[in-house]
Amino acid sequence: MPASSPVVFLSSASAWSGNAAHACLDTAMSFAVFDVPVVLVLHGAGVLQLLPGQDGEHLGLKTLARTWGALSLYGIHEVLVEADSLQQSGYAQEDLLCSAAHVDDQEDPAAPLLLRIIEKPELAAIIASSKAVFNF
Amino acid sequence: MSSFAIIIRGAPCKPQSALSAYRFACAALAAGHQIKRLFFYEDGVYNASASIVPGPGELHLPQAWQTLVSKHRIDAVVCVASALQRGVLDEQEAQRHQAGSGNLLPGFTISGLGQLVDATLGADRVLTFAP
Repeated sequence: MPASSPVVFLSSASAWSGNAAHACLDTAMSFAVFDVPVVLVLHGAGVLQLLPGQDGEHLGLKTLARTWGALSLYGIHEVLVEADSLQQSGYAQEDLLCSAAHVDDQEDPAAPLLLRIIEKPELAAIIASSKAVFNF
Repeated sequence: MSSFAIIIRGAPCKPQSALSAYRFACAALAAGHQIKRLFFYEDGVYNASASIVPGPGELHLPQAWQTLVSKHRIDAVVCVASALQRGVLDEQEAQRHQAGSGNLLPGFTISGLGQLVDATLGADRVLTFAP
């Protein structure tokens, strides 16, 4: 396995179902800090993390969108969304936050966070070539 | 022989995940494999708490982990953010946050996610046991 094999993070929880979505991004950023290639994948209910207008303030919770906005500062410039999950959610790509400019004003304009839809075979190939997979 | 990084994300009172991790660790060591690091994350940090009292007839998993860690000199790391959120503190953190006395079992170390990164990159295989 190449030394540059990525570490894959599969996120299948919405922003409000426990701490999993936050833990996933925190962990991914920790790897990115050490210059480990990171692949971030949303599937299942995880795609709901990218719906705009979510705010945890009234629940006394952190707003996940702010963390999404910070990812580019850690060198994570792309988020992958599994196609079937997006279709089953009833939303389309244009419904989701697809650039850090939509997520947070503090984004790095030189390196926006991009969203890419992938099919299951590509996801399988990414996992097969990875150093490790973390499932949140 | 392989080296394993084992990530424990379930509390000892949750069915299976932490117990399965413990049994896997025991089996791996018995088979001659190495454990590079145990990393206790999220609710898994309760496995390092001295305040856990299992029900009658149940395995005292924190003590079992402690014995395993001590016997095989395994690096057992507890995620600091998860630990603070759940009240699993060593003496230093307890004093720093004015939160009474520490309850971290001897043999465990509180540290950050960098230890998870290091374990992932340094081990042949990474196994996560989640609830």
